[in-house]
Amino acid sequence: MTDTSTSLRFSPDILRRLGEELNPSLDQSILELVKNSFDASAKECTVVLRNTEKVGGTIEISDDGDGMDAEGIINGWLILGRSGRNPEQRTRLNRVPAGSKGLGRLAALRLGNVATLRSWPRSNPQREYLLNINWSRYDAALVVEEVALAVEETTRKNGASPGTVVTIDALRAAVSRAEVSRLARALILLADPFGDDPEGFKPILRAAEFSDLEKLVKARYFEDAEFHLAASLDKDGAARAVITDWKGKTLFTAKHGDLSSGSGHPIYASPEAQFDLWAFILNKETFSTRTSTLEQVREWLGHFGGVHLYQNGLRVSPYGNPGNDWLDMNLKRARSPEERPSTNTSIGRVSTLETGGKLIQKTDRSGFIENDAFLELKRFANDALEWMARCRMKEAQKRRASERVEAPKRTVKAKLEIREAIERVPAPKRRAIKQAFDKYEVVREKEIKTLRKEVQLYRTLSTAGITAATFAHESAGNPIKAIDQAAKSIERRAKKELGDRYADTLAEPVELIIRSTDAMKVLGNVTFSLLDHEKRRASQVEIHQIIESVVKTYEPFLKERDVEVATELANGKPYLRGSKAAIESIVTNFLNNSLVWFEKVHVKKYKIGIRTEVSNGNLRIRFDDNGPGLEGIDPADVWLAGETTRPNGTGLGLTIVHDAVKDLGGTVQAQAHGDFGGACFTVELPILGK
Amino acid sequence: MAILGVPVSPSNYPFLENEMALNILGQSISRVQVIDDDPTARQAMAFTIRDADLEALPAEGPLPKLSTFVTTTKKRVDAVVSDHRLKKGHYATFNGAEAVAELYNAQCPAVLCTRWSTADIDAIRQYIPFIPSLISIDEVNPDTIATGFARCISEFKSAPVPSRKAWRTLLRVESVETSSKPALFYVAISGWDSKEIVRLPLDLIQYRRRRLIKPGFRFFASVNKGAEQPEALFFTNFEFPVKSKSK
Repeated sequence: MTDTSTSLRFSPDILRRLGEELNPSLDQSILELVKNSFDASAKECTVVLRNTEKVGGTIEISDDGDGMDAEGIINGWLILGRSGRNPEQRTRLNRVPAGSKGLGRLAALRLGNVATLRSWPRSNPQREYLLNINWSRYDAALVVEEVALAVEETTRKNGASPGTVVTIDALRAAVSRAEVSRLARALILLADPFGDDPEGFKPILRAAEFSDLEKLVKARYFEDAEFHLAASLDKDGAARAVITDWKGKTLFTAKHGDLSSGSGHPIYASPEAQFDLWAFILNKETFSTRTSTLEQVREWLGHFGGVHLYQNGLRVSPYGNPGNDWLDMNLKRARSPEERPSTNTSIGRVSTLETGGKLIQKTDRSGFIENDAFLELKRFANDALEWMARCRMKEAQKRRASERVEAPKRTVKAKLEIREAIERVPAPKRRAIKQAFDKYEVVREKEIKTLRKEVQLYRTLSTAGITAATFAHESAGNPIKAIDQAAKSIERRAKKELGDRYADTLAEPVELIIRSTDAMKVLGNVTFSLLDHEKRRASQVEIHQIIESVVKTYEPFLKERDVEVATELANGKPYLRGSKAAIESIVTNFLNNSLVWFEKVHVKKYKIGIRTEVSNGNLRIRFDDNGPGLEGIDPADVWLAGETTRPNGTGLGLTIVHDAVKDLGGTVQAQAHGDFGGACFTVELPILGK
Repeated sequence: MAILGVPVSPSNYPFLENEMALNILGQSISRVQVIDDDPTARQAMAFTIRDADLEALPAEGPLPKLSTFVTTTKKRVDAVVSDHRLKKGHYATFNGAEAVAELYNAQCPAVLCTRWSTADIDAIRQYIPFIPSLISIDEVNPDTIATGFARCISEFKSAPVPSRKAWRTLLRVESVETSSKPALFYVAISGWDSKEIVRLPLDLIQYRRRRLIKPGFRFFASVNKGAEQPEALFFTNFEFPVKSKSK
């Protein structure tokens, strides 16, 4: 009877696919061998590149770790795809093993045609174990199992310390300068060079690129950072943080509730972690009081800036690599530049001590699997950054307030100095300079006064706006809704009870209540509508649509005031790129302006005309009314902030129109009397199409 | 007059009978609970409900927790009319959209009244699949309330009306606004109004998928493309493309 028992067998191709495709870069492959040294409790691991600038070179990785005997090599090192390490177990130096599955090791070993392992176990360092892998034998074989490997055991000839040396000979490709730089950076950052652990793990690369970078990383400019954020996350998921300044003085502290975003300040479902960030202010003024120079720090941050992520003492790539801004620091800074660090102006690390297997690295070593634990760790780091930004904003506000107090004092001092300087000028010229300076002071005072007035007006209006919005919300939500529904209920019940008598008795007052309620609703709706966030977003805006919508919103209000709005809009749908809010504020302010002035004249029917016309790529919008026109003010001055002839007028409505039109690249003109007899305003806006 | 874009007319709901109580597809409605955090507004809504010849029961606050509220309400009344904002003066710990959606899941007809402001719609959006009757405050009257109940019962007993039927639809992200509160994104909906970009709260998307939401990103969702107004659209069953690895 034929023996049909068998087992799965693998083509040698699988070795290439597993190793090279899952670990495509040289630095990541070599790092896997270096991590083996970390797991072997080595204190130093040295990578030497020999003749690697061309094909056929050699890479050697040696360490002073615990080494392996034949058993360790055969049942550990040679087994691919299995993590032979239990994260609960610690190494001799109490390290949590990196837990590599051996695929990176495979990729590294296959960088050359021949790989050799020499190991001297700590239990008996006089014994040497040698393994030689010649990959050409695999290329010739049908299945992997055909190639027999042997671990040779001999007595050691030289040396007495335990350790391991892996040599990769006859490299299949040359190693480029860029790859050497990447490898140097990866090795330097691998074992948290920012920490101060003398017992730590030290990877070394024998290459010029490495020593330059090593010098740079040793420079440690942390003390020159303007702010140091230190946030920690305990085993229960509660966070706390502190910000200190460059002198080490505590500026702000936060408890979990101050940090955790979201309602109820949820705990972070993530392993224990520590987040440190050193933020620099890269300007000459700041560095004038520091021991290092601006250029030094800039170069240092250029190489190592960003936030790096360490798991159990070893760095996880690609977090913090050039171009990897995993906490979106640069994006946030672009959106709100004030007081936020970028990856070019800060350096940091998130370190987690993780033995529970919650954070899992992807097999291709391209970072962590984005599971809940990782996303929660990210939320913790992001929340800490947000809190820091909020604190710094508060600080900036205080600074500005103090500057507002100090600035006038400085101005007075400077003026005195100029006056004294003028006194020292020879008499014949002194008078002319004095006069010129007096004149300058008068003009400047006037300018300051105008600006103050404008700022005050904007503040007043903003307060009025916020208050109006609050009341609009309350009144539309409740009293107006109640009046409206109650009036309609009266209408329905009265019609039913009174029948034909309703029209003669109650119809008129009930309709008046309903009409007045509609007018009140408009007030609220206009306020809400102006506050809508979406309207301030730049997008393609159809101008006619906005005009019609504003007029429709005002309809009950206009009806109540017996005002007729005649719109005569050009054919087509002219549009531009801008915000709906800008067009809306133009139309709304013109309508408001007319409504206010109608109170000053008595005509049979109040009229507002809105006409549009397209010519030469522009849309001309003409607003006319039959009010009193522009009296007592030069039409050119109506745009000035605070200029008004109306008692209690803000003088800002038309200023806002003017600014909005300018923002849209257009022009606006005022005429004292137009076609309807009252004021006339003509707006020209460049359009994109119609 | 319309509810979620569908005109209200007796011909739309021929089964709607009104004789002191509503009888809709064999289900009788006579007692209606009124939920609003403002006592005056509750009273006013009660007038409208009584004008529909129904018994109005304004609910005094504070309301119990949502699950208890739904259980007790279902036992006490036949239907509910609720305002969306309910948190003033500790009236309720939930909002109207949450309440109406839970009542819908418990097969209790419920109508949600809102100002239909964009902020309210952002907050309501995730519940719209469970809110067949969303009425603007300006449209509240005995007919729209009755038709609202009819729509709920019709959905409980048979298929949704065409404007509420969901279709697998391709969406394209047009822009993202993370600085707003809530964070928003805007989508173009294939097979719907090609000119209209619809604004959605980012928290509609599962937290871990939010990083994918960037301008130009396309994904599928179930959308009721028969809806006439953007406010009535709902989005469920999001499907994101699986990142393929090159060999």
